[in-house]
Amino acid sequence: MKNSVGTYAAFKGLLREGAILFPLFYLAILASRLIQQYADPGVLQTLFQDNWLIAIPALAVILSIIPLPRYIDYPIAAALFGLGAGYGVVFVLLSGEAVGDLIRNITEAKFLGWRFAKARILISIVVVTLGGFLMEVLL
Amino acid sequence: MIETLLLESLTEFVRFLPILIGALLLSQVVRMFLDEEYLRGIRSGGSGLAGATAVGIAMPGPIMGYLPVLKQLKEKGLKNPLAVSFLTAQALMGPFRVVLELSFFGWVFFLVHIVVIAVVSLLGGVLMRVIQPK
Repeated sequence: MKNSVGTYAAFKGLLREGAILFPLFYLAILASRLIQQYADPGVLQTLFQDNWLIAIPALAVILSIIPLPRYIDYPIAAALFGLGAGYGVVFVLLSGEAVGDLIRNITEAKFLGWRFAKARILISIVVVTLGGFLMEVLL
Repeated sequence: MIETLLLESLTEFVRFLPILIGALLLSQVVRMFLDEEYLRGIRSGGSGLAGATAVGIAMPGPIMGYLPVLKQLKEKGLKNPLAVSFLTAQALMGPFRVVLELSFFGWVFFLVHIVVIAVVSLLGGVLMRVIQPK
C-alpha cells in the first residue's frame, strides 16, 4: 500500500515537473539553435575564450540577478561550448542555480534571514568563480 | 527558415525526450528515498561540511523545497557553514543534472565537474565559517 502511494506520488511529481520542464527545454533547444546559427563565433571567442578570466566572474555576477529556469542551461551551454566557450564558462553557466537569481535569493532571505542570504550569495559568487577557473585549468 | 529552425529544434527535443523522462524518473525515485526530512541527518550525523556536501549532491529537486526545513534546523542550532555547503552542493548537482550532464558533456566532464562541485561546496562552508560561524 505504501509502495503504491509512493509510486503514485512519484508519477504525479513526474507529470507536474514535466509539464513545466518540457516546454522550457524545447525553448532552450531553440535558443541553442539560434546561437549556433546566428551568433558570431569571433565575438564568442573574444568574450568567452580569449577573456575567460573576466568572463567567468562577470557571468557569476550576472547569473546572481537574472532568473534562469532550472536545467535549461544545458542546451545553451552546450551550444556555446560547441562555438568555443571554455569549460570554465560552461561550469559557471551550469552553476547559475547556486548563485541563485533575484527571486530565489529574496525567498532564501525570507526563510534564512538577510544576513545569511547576503553572505551566502557573496560566497557563491566567489566559489563559482573559483570553480570556473579550476575547470578551465583541469580540462 | 523559421519553420526549419522550429522543426529542427522539435526533432532535437524529441531526441532528448527519453533522456528528460529518464532524468525526471530518477529524480522522483531518489526523492522517494531522500526527502526533505533526510536533511536532518546533516545535523545529527556529525560529519560536518563533507557530510552536508554529500547530502546536497545526492538530493533532487528545486532548492526552494528545502528552505523551510533548513529554517527549522537553523532554529534548532544548525550552523551556517553546514547550510552553505548543503545549499551550494544541492544547487550544483542532483540526480537530474547527472543524467543531463552525461548526455550533453560526457563522462570526463561529469567526473571533473563533480570533484570541482565538492571542492567549491566545501570551500563555501569554510568561507562561511570565517564570515558567520553561527
